[in-house]
Amino acid sequence: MLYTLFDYLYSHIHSLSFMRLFTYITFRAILAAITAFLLSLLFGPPIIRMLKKRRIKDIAWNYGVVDVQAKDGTPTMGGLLILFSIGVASLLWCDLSNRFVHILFGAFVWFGGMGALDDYLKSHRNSKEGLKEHYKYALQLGFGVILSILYLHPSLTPVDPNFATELHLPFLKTPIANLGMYYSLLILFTITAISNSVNLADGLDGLAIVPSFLIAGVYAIFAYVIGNILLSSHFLFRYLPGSGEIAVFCGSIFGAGIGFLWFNAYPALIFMGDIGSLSLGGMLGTIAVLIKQEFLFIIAGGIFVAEAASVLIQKYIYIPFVGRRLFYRTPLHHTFQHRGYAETKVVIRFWIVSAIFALISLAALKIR
Amino acid sequence: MNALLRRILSRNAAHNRDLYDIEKLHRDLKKGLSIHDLESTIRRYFDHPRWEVRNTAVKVAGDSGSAAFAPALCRFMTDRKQKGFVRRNAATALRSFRGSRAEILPELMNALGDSYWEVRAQAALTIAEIAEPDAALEGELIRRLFRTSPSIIHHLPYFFPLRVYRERDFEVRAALTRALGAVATSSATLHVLELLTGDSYWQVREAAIESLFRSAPVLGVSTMDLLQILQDLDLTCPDFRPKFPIRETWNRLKGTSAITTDADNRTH
Repeated sequence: MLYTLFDYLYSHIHSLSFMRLFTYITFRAILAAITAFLLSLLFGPPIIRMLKKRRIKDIAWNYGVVDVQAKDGTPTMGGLLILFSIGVASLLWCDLSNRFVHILFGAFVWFGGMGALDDYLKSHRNSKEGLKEHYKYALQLGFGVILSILYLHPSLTPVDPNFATELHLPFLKTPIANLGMYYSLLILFTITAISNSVNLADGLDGLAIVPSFLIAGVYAIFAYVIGNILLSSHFLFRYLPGSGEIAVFCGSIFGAGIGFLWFNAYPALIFMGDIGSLSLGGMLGTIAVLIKQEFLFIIAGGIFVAEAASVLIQKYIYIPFVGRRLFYRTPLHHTFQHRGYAETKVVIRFWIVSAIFALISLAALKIR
Repeated sequence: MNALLRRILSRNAAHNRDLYDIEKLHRDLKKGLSIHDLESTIRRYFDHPRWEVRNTAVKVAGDSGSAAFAPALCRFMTDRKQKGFVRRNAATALRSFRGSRAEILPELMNALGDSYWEVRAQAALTIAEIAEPDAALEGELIRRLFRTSPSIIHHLPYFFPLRVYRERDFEVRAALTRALGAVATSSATLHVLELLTGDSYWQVREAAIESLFRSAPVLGVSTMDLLQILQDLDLTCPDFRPKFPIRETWNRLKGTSAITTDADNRTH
């Protein structure tokens, strides 16, 4: 909204020409991050009070490794704060006529609604059992189908239809294949996998939020490069007109993430809940698809991939078929707790590894 | 895809009522139902083709406390064809049969050579719980812990940084350390436990301290001597438990009052 206003003022009033500053993506991305951060700080305490008043609290779940009772009663659904900050900051600073932004707001509403329903059911039933797993998968796949149609249909896609179905890998200049309509399968997998992986990692204070906003930062840089005709040419990326606006949206995620960490840092005053983890995962997955950097997530989101892989291997392969454990506990962070590391040590080490992964993924800009 | 896989597995489980039956039996047992008269029923599940059913049957047998199950559980624990969970739970279940110590201990020592760490750890913990001071067991446990023989144990400090452990898994090492505390008869154990107070894993160090205090009366070591031995003990570790002052106060006050408050109802 402010983008439209400033753009109008800059175009029509000569004395306000300095307002062209607000048309620059980098400047707006920074403003979006600061706005989201300040909104989180401002609205965090009232939202925490509201959640406590409504008794939307975390249910202690004994993993056999930690004293979970100590955290029993901490309010959950802190994702509301994240979504509120991202939503307002993006509405203020994004170009609301941009197709990429429309799709991202679609993901925002879809996954936010799904996570809210999941958390509401858990809180309502006073148990860990929220939305049934198959409904959750159906909703994730449902969004994947909609995104596939929006991204691959020649008359709806915001990118060149031929380019839309090309398969790009990090560190490679050229696409390795053109998947045609099979690309929709990759979209379905990306959305479901990323959304669930963030959800699985959300188990310790601050564990999911830091890698999430680091990935948002990485994708902001990629979106800016890919959406800039000069930079995309310099770094040998295919230019995607309009995709730079995704960087502003990523800026909101980055700022909202830091703002949420303010309250979620150990010992957490609030947990993000499924509304936060599912929506962050859903939005990051959508961003990955829109800028065609799905496989970059394997590097940038290495922590999430490792967490999800540990659960898949242990829960769905090792225990039912081999009849024993491969890891001490899953998701992976519980293995480290089992080995006798305090929660804060595990979380900070995961942050360090996430930062390293983010740096490696940024190297994929140049090493191609 | 996960949901599909899970559905296939749960559909198989639903078709097989036996798993449901044995789990119901287990729940009933925990409610206080005596199953001494149901031994033949449990034995029927021991030979079930599905490992999940056998696994639950093993747990039920342990919880029953009936010593008649001890030989069968020993067989489960040492049969490498059984799944890891079944072997592990058999090792845990044997803790209930302290009276059959003489028959169980050799099998538990055998299980310490299992390829699955959870079986080794549980077998060692069972030894720690049911064993009494025994020189033969002591020597064997030391051999399980270290590559070196007890006769050259006094040279260990010099080789210690070279990782002389035979047992590389910290969880098993901690369990073996506890077992060693239970069977200690000689000063060799004292020296080994002292060495283990320098282990890189705090769980092993903690187990070593506990074992030292447990075995001290048997070894004729006074508390003062023990404190002298442990004067350079590293008491830091990468773990700690959160303590919320307001919760501590609440629990303290609640402890002095038998009244169940509304806040309790809300929390749980």
